[in-house]
Amino acid sequence: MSFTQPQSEIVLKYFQDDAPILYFLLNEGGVVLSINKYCRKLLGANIVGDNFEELLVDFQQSFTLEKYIHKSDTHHLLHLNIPNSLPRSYLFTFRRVNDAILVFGKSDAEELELLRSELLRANQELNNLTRSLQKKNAQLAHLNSVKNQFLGMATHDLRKPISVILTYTEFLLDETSEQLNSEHTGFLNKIENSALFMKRLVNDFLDVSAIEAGHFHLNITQVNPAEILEKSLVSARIPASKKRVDLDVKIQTGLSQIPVDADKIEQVMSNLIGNAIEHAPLGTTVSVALQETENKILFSVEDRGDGMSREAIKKIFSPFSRSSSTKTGSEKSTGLGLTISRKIIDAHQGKIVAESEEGRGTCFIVYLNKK
Amino acid sequence: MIKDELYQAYLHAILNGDRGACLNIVTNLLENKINIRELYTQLFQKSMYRIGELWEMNKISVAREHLATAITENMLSLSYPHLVSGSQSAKKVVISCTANEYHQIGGKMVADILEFHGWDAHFLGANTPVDELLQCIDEVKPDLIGLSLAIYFNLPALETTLDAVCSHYPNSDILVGGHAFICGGTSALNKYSGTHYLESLAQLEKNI
Repeated sequence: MSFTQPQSEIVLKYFQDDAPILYFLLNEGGVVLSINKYCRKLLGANIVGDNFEELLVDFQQSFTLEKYIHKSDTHHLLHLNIPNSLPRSYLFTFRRVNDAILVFGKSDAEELELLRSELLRANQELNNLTRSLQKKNAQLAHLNSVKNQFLGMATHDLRKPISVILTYTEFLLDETSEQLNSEHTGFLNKIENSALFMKRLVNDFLDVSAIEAGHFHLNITQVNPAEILEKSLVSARIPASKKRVDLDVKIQTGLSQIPVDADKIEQVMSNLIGNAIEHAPLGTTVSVALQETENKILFSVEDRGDGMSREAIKKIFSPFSRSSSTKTGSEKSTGLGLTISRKIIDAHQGKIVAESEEGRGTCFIVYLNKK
Repeated sequence: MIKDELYQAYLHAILNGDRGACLNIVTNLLENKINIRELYTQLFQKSMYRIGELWEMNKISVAREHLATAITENMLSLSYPHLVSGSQSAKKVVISCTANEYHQIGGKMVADILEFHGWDAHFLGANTPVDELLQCIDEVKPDLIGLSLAIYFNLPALETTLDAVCSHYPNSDILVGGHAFICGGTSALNKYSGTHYLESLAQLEKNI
């Protein structure tokens, strides 16, 4: 089939202006002499004068014009470097006509269609999986709220009988100790200790359920952090002296007042100091420090106990994640203290971190904002 | 009620593949506590029906229609957490597209609206083989089965599915709906007892 001259002009004009294919005219040396409109749109008009090879992303540096011209009936997969975008792949053919080289490049339409279909299918699957996860998440959130509601009710109801046990045990110990032998007094002491532990456990459960149910409110006032620490230390000195643990307290003078809920921060400090005493070997020192930086107040507690592994440290703020480090007395822990402490510090937009090394003790640092 | 100018802005964005603009519009509506059915019918359904028309009139390509579909899927995922409660629901529904039916948005919208009304909806997605559907029905034991058909040419596949479902579970309540029936053709369903044509999401809400 041959074209008449008017037909040839129409075909040429179509290639020049409309065809969605790449067309380059190169000289023998591979320099671009002219390009069509599609090419200009994709690569810019300023490629005229460049060497064709420079337009390619050729990782293997295997491109040689002669080799491709020699196989003029083959489509060669080459990648073009697209300005301000990702490279694109085209199937190229090279033909020598007189002393010039015609280069045509086309997209692999079938491959693009295949990719588009796969992308659509993957998007559908992803959205369906997201939907399933969202549903599971909503179900878990609902179950968690039911659990918290139950926990709140159950622990609230447990408070009264525990108070009764404690009151009557203390009464018996105070009023009838002379009539009891040492074994019976020991039994009452055990009852009292267990009831006290249950009371702490119930209080921790109530704190957790309140936090998780969103019923956790801070009563923020401007307070000197040193005053909070002093209060915490009052209750810490008795267990410390029982274990002959020395509390080395360093409080920077002239600390700024900070906006916190004093009771909640005291709860955190008491918990961290109490934990440190529990893990401190007999006769060692627990270091407590309070200092100020430009924007923060830093509270730290460090013991010289067994320390924790990296794995244990990762889980230390999760509920009931009893640390692998051993307690050095007969202390009982509810397993919720650090979880509650973190929630309290988070609610203050502060930060709590734990640093530990096996055999060298553990240090907790709390960062509180000054404003 | 979604204002026409907002709908036009959304349609313009989705036709241009502007996912960010669509995201802004839907996020704002959700933050302002839009009624979920209004969001689904007056924005998602209306825009996708319009895109279907433009495709049928050769005004937009298949690729552009698929891009709009993908964006709508993302918008549905964005909306879903606002309608699902997570509480145990008494009634269960299995919703699926037939084999060879790759358009799943309509079915998903029906599943979402039922979830919104407290149903436990099991959505199986596009191109679900009959065996998989039967297996799911066997496991879930739903109170209702929903089948979605978007392209009328897939009617034989729907009939194959209905034959199998009605034969295995003759007492099932089945709802059939979708864009395929927008110009009629529901008489094909008459031979299946317990099978009803669902005309719209509004009709669904009225009858559940």
